[in-house]
Amino acid sequence: MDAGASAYLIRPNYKDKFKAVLAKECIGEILREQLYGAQYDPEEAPALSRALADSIKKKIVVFSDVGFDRYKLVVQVVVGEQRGEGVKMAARCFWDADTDSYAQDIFMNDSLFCVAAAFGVYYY
Amino acid sequence: MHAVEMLSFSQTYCELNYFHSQTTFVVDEITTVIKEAVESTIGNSSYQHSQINQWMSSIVESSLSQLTKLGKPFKYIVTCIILQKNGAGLHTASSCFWDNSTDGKTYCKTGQAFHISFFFFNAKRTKSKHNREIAFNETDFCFSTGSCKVRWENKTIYCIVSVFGLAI
Repeated sequence: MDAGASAYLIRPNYKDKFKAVLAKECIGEILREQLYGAQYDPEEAPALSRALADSIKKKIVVFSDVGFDRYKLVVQVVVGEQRGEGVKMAARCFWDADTDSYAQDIFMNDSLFCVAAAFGVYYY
Repeated sequence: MHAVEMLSFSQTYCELNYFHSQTTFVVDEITTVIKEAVESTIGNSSYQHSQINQWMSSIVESSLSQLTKLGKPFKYIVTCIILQKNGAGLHTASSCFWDNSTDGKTYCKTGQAFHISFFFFNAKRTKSKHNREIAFNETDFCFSTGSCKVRWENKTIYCIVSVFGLAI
């Protein structure tokens, strides 16, 4: 059996796994770039959150050289106004813990807060 | 000969339909599951900081376990956002790199002091890799097209529940 021939992997190699640290850096960079000095504006917030989600997704997909090729990706961004309200965000997943992972980052300034989470799910 | 062929064709067709319903993301079903989980946990409560962790865990875990009981070949991701209602605005957006024909999402928003989003993924294998390149974008708080939303108002709490599905 020729192992070198095109074998269809049903598990990622160790180096091809979803790297949470890299994804977190991507997210952090985008949030800092786009939200630095931003004020919460209810008119713009929907478009802003959508733009953030898109750019984070693009960045992760492009940035990952080879590894994330087999990964499906979901990015969720939450932008909220800072008014002293209580906020909590949690996530639970039903997936394959060997292959799937997530990354998240938070940005806060005086007028808004932003939480972004990216989930990578391996495509068998 | 023809009658036998017709019979086997219709049987196959029925089986395919059944298979299809068992392997696709049915928004209504999932919305019901989520709504039930939220209502049974929060009910008519007011926002209480001390209870948040417990409420959140219970909502997310019970909805996830109900979803897995559906027995579909899906991977699920459930996220929950809880927000106290004090006039502040909140916007959520999501952008996904998946297969539009097999994967999906839904949202439930109940108007208590919670915003709860559930994303679940059904990651399904498709024959062709070319189908994968479909990006799905949407924004939230008041929920875009292609999503399922449930609204529920109360005095102190906002609850938004959104669910994503990825097929395996």
